[in-house]
Amino acid sequence: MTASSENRKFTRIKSGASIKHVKFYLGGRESEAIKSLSKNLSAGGILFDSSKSYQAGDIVRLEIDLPGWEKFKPEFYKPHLSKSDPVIALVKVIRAVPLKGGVYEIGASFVGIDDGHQMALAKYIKCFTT
Amino acid sequence: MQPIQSNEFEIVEFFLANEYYGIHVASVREIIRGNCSLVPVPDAPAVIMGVVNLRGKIIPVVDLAEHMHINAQQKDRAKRIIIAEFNKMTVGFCVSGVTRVHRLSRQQMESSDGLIQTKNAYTVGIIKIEERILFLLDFEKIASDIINQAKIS
Repeated sequence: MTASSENRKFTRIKSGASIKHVKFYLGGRESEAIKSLSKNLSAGGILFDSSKSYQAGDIVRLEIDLPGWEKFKPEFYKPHLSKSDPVIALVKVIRAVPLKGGVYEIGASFVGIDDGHQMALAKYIKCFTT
Repeated sequence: MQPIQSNEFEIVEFFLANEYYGIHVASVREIIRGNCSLVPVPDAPAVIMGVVNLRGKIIPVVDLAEHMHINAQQKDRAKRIIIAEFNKMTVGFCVSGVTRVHRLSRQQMESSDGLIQTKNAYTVGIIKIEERILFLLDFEKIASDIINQAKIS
């Protein structure tokens, strides 16, 4: 993973993390989540490829598998007890760019993420930038 | 504190504008500040202010004043959010403030049946504490009605 900060609020890293995403609806009307890989990641947003397109403004439920991120969670960390759960966040789609082969590049920002988890994500990302 | 007796129950007292309500302690998972980041959900019923992500769990948050038709100032509607859990359903209720926990005996609760002006169909009992009248509401029914409404919409 390599870092890029440019003029952004959060540092980005290139990341090929496994993710699952699905358009968010209330009341369990969500369809089955789609698996794909992230392209880059920051504590403020994510870029990923998707076989499904989204509209700008769509709210998407995202699960990101980031092994080891749980060490930075605010609760007391115990290696043998703490589970490596995925990061779960709601993101707002900023753009969806069609690529070749029916794939879309989705840029999205985190709008619904637990404050403690966002801080943990920022610390996790910082490990790859120093 | 003494263990709870079989004829006793505990409630969390809260208020909305100048009206007082109670919710069973057993249903309350936690109480959070109202200034947390709520994500508005498109096509949700008007009484749902949005959803909040609490440690990875996405929880719908209900504007209780709107649902109960209580004329509360916008700034007083969501100073606290009571996160309640019922039978695999977790819902947040926006309230003006949380007062305290009371341990009560069942004899203190009056049925709402005889009242001409019940708050609405969700009232399951009325309790007088000091000079205040508390309405005990069926929050599970409120939550399931709203979530069902969300499914339909």
